[in-house]
Amino acid sequence: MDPNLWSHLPDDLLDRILAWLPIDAFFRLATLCRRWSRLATSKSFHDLCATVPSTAILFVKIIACDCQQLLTTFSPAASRWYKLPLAFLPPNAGLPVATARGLLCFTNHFQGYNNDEYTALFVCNPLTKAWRELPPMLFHHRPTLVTMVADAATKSYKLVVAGRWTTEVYSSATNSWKRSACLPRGEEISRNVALCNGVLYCLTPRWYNCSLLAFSIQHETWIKIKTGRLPGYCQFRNLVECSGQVAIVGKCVRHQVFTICVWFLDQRSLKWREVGRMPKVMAEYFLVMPSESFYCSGIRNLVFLTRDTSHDGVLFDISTKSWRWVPDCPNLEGMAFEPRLDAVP
Amino acid sequence: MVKVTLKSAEGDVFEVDEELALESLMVKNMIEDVGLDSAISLPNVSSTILAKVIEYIKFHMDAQKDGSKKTSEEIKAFDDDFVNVGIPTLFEMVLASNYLNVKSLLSLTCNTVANMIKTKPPAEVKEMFTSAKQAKA
Repeated sequence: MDPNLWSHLPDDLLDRILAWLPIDAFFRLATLCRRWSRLATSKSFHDLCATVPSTAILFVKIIACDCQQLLTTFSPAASRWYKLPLAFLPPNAGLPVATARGLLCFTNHFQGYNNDEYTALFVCNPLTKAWRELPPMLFHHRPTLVTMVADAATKSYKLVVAGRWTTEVYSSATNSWKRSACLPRGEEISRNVALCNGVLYCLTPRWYNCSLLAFSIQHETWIKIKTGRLPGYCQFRNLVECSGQVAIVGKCVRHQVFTICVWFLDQRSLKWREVGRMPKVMAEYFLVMPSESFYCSGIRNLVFLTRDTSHDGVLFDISTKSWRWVPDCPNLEGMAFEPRLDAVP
Repeated sequence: MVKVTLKSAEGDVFEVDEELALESLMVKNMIEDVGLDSAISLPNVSSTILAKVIEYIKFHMDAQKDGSKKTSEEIKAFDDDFVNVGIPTLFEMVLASNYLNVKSLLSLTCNTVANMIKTKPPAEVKEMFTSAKQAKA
C-alpha cells in the first residue's frame, strides 16, 4: 500500500472530507496549513459545509460578555470547554438571547434599565465573525422573549419577539419586521420556551394553573394547548426541545425521593410521559438545596443542567438514558448552539 | 425493465437496471447524451469498486421502496459495514463516488474519512494529506 495514498486526493475531495469534521477538529487542523486556514473564510467551503448535517454541538453559557468578550462553551462530544472570542461585536451588543443553526442573537436589552433606551438586536456567526444589527423592532422596547428559527433550505432565519401585548416576527429574507397575532386572551408568556418542529412552545409564568402556549412559525398564530396536567413542581419546570420532542425537565418526588425527571409531550394524547429520572445518588447532591432553581438547555439527544451554587453540571443523554457529571461548569444560564461555518447572519 | 451496460476499467461488463444506473448522475448524463444502445465505459472505476457501488445503490433503493421492512438501524448497520474496509478500498470509493456522482455514497465515504482523522494529532493528518505534494513542489 502506498503510504502517501491520501496525498494524491484532489483538493476538492479533501475539502469535502474536511467539511465533515467536527468544527473543533477542523480549527485544530486549520492552524497548521495556510490553505486549510483560508477555507474557514472561503465561500465555496461554506457551501460544502452547508450540505453536511451539524457535526458538533456546544452549550453556551451566558456570561457578562461586555467585560470578557468571550463566550464560554462546552462541547459534550469532546467533554471540553472552549472560549469563543466576541471582540468583533460592537461593545453595545449585550448578551446572547437566542440561537439557531450556527447563529447567535444578542441584545442589549438587559443592560441598563432606562425605559427610553432603544433595544438593539444583533445577529452573528461567532466562527466567521460576521455580524449585523437588525432594523429596529416595530413595537417592543423590552420583549419578554426572543427566539430564533433557521431554515436550512433557504439559508434564512426568523426572529420571534413577543411580549404581553404584541408578537412580531423578523424575517432575514425580507430584512423586515411584521406584526403577527396576539396571545390568547388573558394569557401571558415567560422566557421558558422551546422550539420544536417549527412550533414555539412557551410556559405561562403563573405559579398556579400554569399552561402551555404554542406559536406556529409558519402561520404566525398563538394557541393554548390543553395538555394533561403539567408534571413537576410549578416553579421548577424548564421547557426544552429534546430529540424532536417538547420536554419538561423539572423537580418532583418519586418513591419519597426528591429528584429531577424529564417528560415528553405525547403529541397525540397530549399527555406527559416520563422518559428519564436522575439517579438517586446524583439527585441527592444536585438538589442539596431543594428550593434552588436550576438552568436547563436541550438539543438533539442531550439536556444540560446547571445550578446557581455549584460548579458541577449534569448532562442527560436521552438515547442512552444516561446521566453524567460535568465538572467546572460556570453556574449560569445557557443555551444550546450548533457551530456552523456556513451560517450567514 | 430496461437494462444498462456498464464497463469497468478492466473491461468487465455489469448489466444493471436503468433505474439503478440513474442514481449515478454521471451515468445519467451519459445516457442522456449517447443513449442506451452502447455500453457505458467507466475507465476510472475498477471492477471491485464498481461492484461495491452497485451493491450500495441496490441496497438503498430497496430500502426506500414502499413495503420495505428495513429499519433505520438496519440501514445504518449496512452503511457502517459497507465502509468498514481497508484504506485503499475506502480511498478508491471516495474517488469513484465523486466520479460517478453518487451524492449519498460520497457523503458516507467522506464522513468515514473525517471520523478516521478527527481524533488523530493534527500534525499527523497534515502529513497524511500533504507529504507527496510538498515533495513535488
